[in-house]
Amino acid sequence: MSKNKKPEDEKPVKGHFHPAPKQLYPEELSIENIRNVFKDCADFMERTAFVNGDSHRELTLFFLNGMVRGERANDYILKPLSENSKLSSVPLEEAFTLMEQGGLYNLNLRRRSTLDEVADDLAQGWTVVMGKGLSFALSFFTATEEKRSVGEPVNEPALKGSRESFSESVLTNTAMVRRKIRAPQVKIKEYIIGRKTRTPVDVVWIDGIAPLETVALVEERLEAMDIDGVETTGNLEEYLVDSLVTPFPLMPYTQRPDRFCGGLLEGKVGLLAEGLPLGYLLPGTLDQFFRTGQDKSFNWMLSTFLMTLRYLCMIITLVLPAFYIALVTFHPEAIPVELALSIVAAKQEVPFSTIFEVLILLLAFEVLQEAGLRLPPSIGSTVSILGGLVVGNAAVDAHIISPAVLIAVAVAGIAGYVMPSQDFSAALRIWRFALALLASIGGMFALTCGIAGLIAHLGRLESFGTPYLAPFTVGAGQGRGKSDLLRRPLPFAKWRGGIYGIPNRRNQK
Amino acid sequence: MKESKEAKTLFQLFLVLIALLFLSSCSSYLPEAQEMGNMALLRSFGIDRGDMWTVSVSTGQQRKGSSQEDPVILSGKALTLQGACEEISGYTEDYVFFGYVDQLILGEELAESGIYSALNYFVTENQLSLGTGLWITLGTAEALIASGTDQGTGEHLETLTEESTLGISGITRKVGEVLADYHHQGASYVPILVPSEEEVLRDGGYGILVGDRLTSILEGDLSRGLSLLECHPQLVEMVLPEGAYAVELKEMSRKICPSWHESGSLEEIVISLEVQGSLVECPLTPREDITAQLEEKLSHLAMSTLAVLQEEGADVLHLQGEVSLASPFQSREMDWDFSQVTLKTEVHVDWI
Repeated sequence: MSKNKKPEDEKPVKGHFHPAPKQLYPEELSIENIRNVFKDCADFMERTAFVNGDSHRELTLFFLNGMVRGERANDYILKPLSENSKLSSVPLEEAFTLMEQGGLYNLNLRRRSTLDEVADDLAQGWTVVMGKGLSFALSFFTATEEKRSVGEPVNEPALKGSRESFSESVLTNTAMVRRKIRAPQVKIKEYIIGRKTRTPVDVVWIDGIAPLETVALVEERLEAMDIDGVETTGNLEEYLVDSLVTPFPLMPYTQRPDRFCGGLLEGKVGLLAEGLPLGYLLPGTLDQFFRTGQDKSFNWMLSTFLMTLRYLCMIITLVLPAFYIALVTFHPEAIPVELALSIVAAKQEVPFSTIFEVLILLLAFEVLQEAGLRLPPSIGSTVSILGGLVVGNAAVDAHIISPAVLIAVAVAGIAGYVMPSQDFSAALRIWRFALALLASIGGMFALTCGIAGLIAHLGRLESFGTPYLAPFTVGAGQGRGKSDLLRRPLPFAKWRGGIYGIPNRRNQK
Repeated sequence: MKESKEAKTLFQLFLVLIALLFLSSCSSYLPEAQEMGNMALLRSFGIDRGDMWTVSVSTGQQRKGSSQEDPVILSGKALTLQGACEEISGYTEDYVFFGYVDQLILGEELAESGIYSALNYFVTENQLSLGTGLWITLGTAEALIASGTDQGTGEHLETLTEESTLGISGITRKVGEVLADYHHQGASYVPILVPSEEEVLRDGGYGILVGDRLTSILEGDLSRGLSLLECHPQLVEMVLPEGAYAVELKEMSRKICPSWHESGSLEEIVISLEVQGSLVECPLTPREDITAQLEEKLSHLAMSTLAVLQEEGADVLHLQGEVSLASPFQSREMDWDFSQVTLKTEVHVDWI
């Protein structure tokens, strides 16, 4: 992705480079310099310890209070330090080698030789042990790992199936994936993103199933990221996607580890990030936004029916208000007689034009939705009832809006909620407005132009090298397995479908 | 970012194009917006012609909220049909919308002088549809439409149309069908309406159009004969020794069997009718003599009608085309005269 690339030797242009240098602390590693780095940090702690009580062998332990679990530091570092006589019988430098080789009881330790590395380790909850006059230090993993326990996927509830959800800890998440796919072919590659947040971001794939081109592309884009920090999903998505000029989501995600693993088995490349209780499945194609984690749990006929219903609802939510405007305002002859008579009867006492009515109601619908989201659930539902039912009913009774418009906008809005992906639903909402405006200008002619524009826009989109409309395309000569638009009985779905370049298409005997 | 620059350019171009649409010279290419609340939706359209064209229209019964309103009836006169329609538009503050006209009633005088201009107006005027039902009324269309002030003529005609599809009343025709007949075989037929004093419309048989002029009217048995030849379901009354009974003719099919001389000229056309019927309100089971009597009656009905049609030279059944289709790829005489050809009928009745 060219937009994220900034070759190292490229001269920074004013305003187009990251202000923070990659090496923050070029000074040599020493106790004094560590203290300088964490100057004015109230939680920075240091503790002096003697090896086996020998006051000539003084070690300094550094850690950040609150980030470290006390028992770990006490039991696995301090205790063996004070009790292991072997450590005091050798020179200090050799003692460090013994510590590295098992003298201290810790699975996860690293020898560090730069100030940057040590500062990083401390910031992540590690304990750093350093000896006076040494040019290296040992870092021990003693972080607290305080985190939310694995909960239920609130946005993707399950009637039949697992109730596990991803948590904010990337380690917990990768462990959940490992527990579900126990094959050693599951590969996890970690990147640290964000100069300040130092967020671990893991690329997960199954070797031999996932297209290596996609893996390479994801890695390339992660490597090219040079930002301050990853606090939200946007910090990842907007740097990784192929196009920013679209409201459509290009990186589908799930809260459910089982669905995530299902995606990996289909040849997708997963992305997990510390702090984000979700996993991305790349590349994103349009059909993924019409599927739920439960589709494989239900009967295939029911799932197929529901999937078809979702496609139908997409058309309804996108086009219905615009279609209503176009028919009522520009092409009334296309409306069946009885319906036309009803609309005329209802419209006679309404002072506003149909276009104004629809646009205002669409706007009101968005306002209600926003108000409902920003408030606590109990008050949010009250707002919805007040706004939707009471105000809506009163507006119709007072002849401010006609019932047909209210029905059209409400049906379009409800159809939008059928979409399993809220991101995709939001993109449809934006296009719904655009199409309604176009229909107000030129009726069916402009609406058709708008739909053609939408299809052209979708056709232009790519997600990690795969066309967004891949399930609808013929593959342009490249094998893509079978179409995934509908859910087939699983014994007959013998091919991994969808994205390009999957090396092993067959998924069962 | 190259991509974002491209997108920006495209977006700017799009904005310019949208802005251009609002220029007065460009906006004329866009369809004109019209609010439905301000529309008078016309349902019935009557045309008469004397010295001037007279157009009468009715909206049919309208709803306003939960109440019903009387139909709006308007009438305009002008030297041209277009002019008369324009005049109507000036009589009401609402936008007169012709898009829902589904009943066209032509006056007797206009039918006798030629209806092509009136029908052709439905071809040229983009709001009007060729799917509009067509009737000819005895007297004037204006009087007929004006007579339906309380409920509207449209309600009655709508019922006639619906009943026709169920086989309860006579055949209804559409403007497009009659125009197609006019162009293909130069003859057609149109149902006739007879206004009565009780403000109820009566089915008055079928008017035969030769060219675009009304030349005769088939009533009674002749009308039933045409329905039979067109395979339209109907009810036929029979007098049997046990009393009078009705036979419901439900399913019918027509087959054309031409016979040719060796020279290639047409000898005769046998019209074979297969009829499936059932006795209504009759305790009897169908007997051979009943069947024979019914077949004879139906044959007589068909022959009487064919005789009138031949006399008028009106090939409304499109026999010319059907004979051609019955003998494809053969060297036959095709310009035979409908009024001179020998026509025979064979009727076969099956009981359901």
